[in-house]
Amino acid sequence: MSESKKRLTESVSALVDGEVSELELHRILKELALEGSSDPADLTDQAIANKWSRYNLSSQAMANTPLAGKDISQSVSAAIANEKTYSNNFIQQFIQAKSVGRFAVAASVAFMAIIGVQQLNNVSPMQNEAFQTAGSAENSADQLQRPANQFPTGFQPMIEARTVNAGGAFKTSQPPAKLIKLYVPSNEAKASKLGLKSSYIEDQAISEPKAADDKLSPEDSTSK
Amino acid sequence: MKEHNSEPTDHQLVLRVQKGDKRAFDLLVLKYQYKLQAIVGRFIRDTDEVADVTQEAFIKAYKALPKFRGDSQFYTWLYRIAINTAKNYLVSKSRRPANTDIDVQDAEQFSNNDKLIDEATPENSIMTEELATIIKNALNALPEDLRTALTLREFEGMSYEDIAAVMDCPVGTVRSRIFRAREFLDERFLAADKKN
Repeated sequence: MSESKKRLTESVSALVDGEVSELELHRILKELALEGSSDPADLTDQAIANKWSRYNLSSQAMANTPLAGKDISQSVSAAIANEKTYSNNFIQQFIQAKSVGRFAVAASVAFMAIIGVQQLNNVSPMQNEAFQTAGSAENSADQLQRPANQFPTGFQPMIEARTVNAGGAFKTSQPPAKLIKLYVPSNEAKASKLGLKSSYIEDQAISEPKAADDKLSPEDSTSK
Repeated sequence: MKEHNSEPTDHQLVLRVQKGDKRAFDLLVLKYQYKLQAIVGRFIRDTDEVADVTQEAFIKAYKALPKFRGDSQFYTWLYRIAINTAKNYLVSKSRRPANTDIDVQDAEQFSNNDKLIDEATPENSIMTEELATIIKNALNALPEDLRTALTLREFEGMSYEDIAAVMDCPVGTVRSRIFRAREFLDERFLAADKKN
């Protein structure tokens, strides 16, 4: 017996015990098809069909199962050859439909997830900035407009961070502590980046608003 | 003794048939043809009639296979088809079928059921007795490790994995030992068959 034939016969033995993989079963059935194409009389004792039959006979005999009759496998096989093949039966169609349905749901969810992530990525950098700017502008407008209305036209108060923080000359919607956090450290950071003293930057920001705006971050410029 | 559990194999083969592989059904026929003929032989005495009725039962089973959902074991389902086919055959021949319904286990063990034909027809008993003797002698002649592996599988119904744990060896070794044991039995079986 060749090595490949031996391996196949070992698979047949394992099939008797229900211990074969789908691939092994596929190989056995393939070999069986080759045997089926030849004359049944030409089948040797080593043929897969005969091996399978005798292995099962031995197994059933060991279990004291009554056995009787003659070999009718060829006549049954010939009769079934005329019957339809169940490749497109209802069960298969149902399973296939179910699989397609599952795939469609999974694909929809994945598509929605991708679209969602894309939307988020597109919106977030701009909108975040816009939200921050708008939020800051709103806050600063709130902060500045109310007290500014109390001053005569053309009056520009000399507002410094220290003045705002310490004096609390006007009420703001935000707590003063936040203003310090937003304004002062950023100026200090700018100053350190430019190699200047923070007081110089503050002076520039007040006296030359436009020029300072160019240099300072939106957060800084709006909080003036 | 635990019954040899052949359900995983049957299930695999049934699924194959339902997917359109007729060769898988050939394997089921090869596996159950003698067992089923022994059952049908309890209703019908003539061996040719038994063969015809069994064949008809297999064809009916094939046609009904798409409806088989696997709620019961394949053999139990096949057995019921065979019993009904045998009863219908007797009715069509104006012969009265056995009135008492029999259980699968009872039928397999040939319990005393007075309505059924005594199973001890010479052909049946010779086949079963001869086989049993051949198997018994062959089992005794097997090397210890092969006999243990096959016995645990056939008589205890253990899986390869469990046998591997019991015998403290890899699953592949168990598979190989069972195969070699079967080959040994098969050689003895063929030798006895040729002698007869």
